[in-house]
Amino acid sequence: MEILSQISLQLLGFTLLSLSLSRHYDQVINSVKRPSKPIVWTLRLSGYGILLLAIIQGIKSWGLALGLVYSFATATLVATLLAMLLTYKPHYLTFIFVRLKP
Amino acid sequence: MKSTFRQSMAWLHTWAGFTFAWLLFFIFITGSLGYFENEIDRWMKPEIVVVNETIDDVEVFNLAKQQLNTLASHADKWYIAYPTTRDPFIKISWLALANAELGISKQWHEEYLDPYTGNITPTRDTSGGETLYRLHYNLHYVPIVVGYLLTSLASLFMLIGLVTGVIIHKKIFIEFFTFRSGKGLRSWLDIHNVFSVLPLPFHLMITYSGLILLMGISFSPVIDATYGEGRKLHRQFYDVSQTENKRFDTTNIPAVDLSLSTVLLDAKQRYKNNNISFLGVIDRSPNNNTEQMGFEVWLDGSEGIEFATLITYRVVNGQVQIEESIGKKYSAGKVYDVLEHLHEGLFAGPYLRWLYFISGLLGAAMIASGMIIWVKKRQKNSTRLINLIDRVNAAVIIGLPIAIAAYFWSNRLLPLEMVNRGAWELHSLFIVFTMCICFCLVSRPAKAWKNMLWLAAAIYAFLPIGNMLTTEHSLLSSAQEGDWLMLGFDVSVLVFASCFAVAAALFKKEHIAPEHTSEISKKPHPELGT
Amino acid sequence: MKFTKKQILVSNVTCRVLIALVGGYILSSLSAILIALLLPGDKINSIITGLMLSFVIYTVTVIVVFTTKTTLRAGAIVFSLCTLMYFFYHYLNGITV
Repeated sequence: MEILSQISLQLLGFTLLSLSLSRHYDQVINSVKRPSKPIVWTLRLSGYGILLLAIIQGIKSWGLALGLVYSFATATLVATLLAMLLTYKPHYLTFIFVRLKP
Repeated sequence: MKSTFRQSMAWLHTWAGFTFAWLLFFIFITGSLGYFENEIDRWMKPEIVVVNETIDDVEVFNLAKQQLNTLASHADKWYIAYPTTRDPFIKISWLALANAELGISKQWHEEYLDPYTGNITPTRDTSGGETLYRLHYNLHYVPIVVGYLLTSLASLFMLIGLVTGVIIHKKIFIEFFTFRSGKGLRSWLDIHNVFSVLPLPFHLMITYSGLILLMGISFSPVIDATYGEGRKLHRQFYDVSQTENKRFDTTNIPAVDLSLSTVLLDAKQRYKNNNISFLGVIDRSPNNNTEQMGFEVWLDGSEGIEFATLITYRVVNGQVQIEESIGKKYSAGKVYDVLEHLHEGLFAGPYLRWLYFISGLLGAAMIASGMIIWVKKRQKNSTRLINLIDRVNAAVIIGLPIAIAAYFWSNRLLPLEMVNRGAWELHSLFIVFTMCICFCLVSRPAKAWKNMLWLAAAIYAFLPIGNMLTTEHSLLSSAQEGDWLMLGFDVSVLVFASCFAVAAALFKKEHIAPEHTSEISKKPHPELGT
Repeated sequence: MKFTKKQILVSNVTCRVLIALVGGYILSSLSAILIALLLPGDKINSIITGLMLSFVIYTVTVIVVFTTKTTLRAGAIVFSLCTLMYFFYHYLNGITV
């Protein structure tokens, strides 16, 4: 359960971070328009925030040393998955954007 | 070296990586397999009877003690390994002391018990998972010190490669998730970045801690100068630096009653939340004099990244005293300990263990993709040397997995009564590896890659079938009996087979690009003056 | 006798590799020894610290050797640091013994 929440938190965090980069923003929402500055900053800050939250959750559930190991290991997994998703199935990630858009 | 800092770093990155790439690939692959040492060991000893239901600790103890009494009454140390999730079987081991009369040297013995009958299960002579993972620092055929020094040097180059790689990678954040497929060299660079940057914490940790684990050998002059010269003093240095802080406690076991069974009962009461993984008797005397004997209890599931807790019972001044290790005495020793635990990952549960393994494979893939890039960048002026290196690349990158599969196959196929069977398993690994290199040297690179990939896919895909034909373990029976280790191994092997098959199928498309460039490269190249 | 451009490059690279590997080893060993001697507190502790840091120093040395403008200068830097440390080590030994 803790592992699952760790994975989902990091997945969300890394997705937001990747969307703050214009290359992946374009891939996901299929436009050539550059994202506006406020959007980029919202994405970036919320991404980092959620990642921080994930690390805190890791430390809380497994203790400092083991928690960090869990967080870093999960980050590797999630980021690799995300890189593959962004290359081959970027539209899977549109859901985040739909939610974010008012 | 070059005109700008970044160019010098790029040069260093290229050549530091290139120099030891093949050895590093070997180290990363065999080292990664080490994370599944026990699981591989179980597969290579198919005779072992697995414990599925929970057996009472005392019952296990009685079975084991009976066998130890008959087999190892004169041994100096006894150990009983309790069934755990990673090793779901009962194992007994003992240290037989050297006996000049009988011409026996000091040696560890181990046997597996059938939990249902209490008899010894004879297992085949095999090198097992342990020898396989030890390859990653002893390199097998060379003297052990040479192995240590070579792996240390290779790791140093790896560390340099990692640091320079971070320095030269300008867009480390912007290209964090970037992989552009089907673009020739660009794609290879992208994939090299993905394999390096995402598991970077792991790569740095594993390389640095690997160096540190061997620092006593690689930097032995430092110990000479600061602590003292000579083997004996070095040994002493290690022993002192490993000093543990101890917590002492007394028990109400009467000294005369001290035995493994009383210790077991006491430990079970004291540490209700922990499982017992090992019971041991050290400093045994043949006449069963408990005065000097020590009784060890190893507990599972301790906190943090410690693997196990050790408790020792001894008679001190007519009273039974408990001694519990609570971490290293020296703070630098603690840092060393943390790095060692991180490197070995013994604390890891299934999830972390798999991630460790995958990160290790990503490291190997990083090295492999680096080598491929090295060749691709130089393919334009396709010389014989570059061609040769391309061939050896194929031989090492795909040949090593094939050789490891051959190791597994030899475990099943070599005659059971063969002399030095275990050693021959390893020989077959290296024989097949050499054969792969020879095969690649005589065929065209593109062909070599493709054939090797198909061969790897086949040799892995048939492994579960081989297992089924030579033992009574098949995918189905393992699932029915709940023999998860056996099943896990067979399924993982099939996954690897399909990965190789996919790679082989995709290979054709991918290889059009370099073929294309070699056409162009026949024209004179202004920069190189050819 | 005139050296070709390629020969100069090869000899340059060989020199640098030697300076980086051999010089780097000596430099990092010496600094590990000095750290072990100079750090206050327990001796074992300082030795382990020195040993663990020696790899960082080794890596940095290699990088510095390959980024310095000329091979001569790289050699000079490593050599002078080594000599300096060596004498310092003997000076310290003179005091402690």
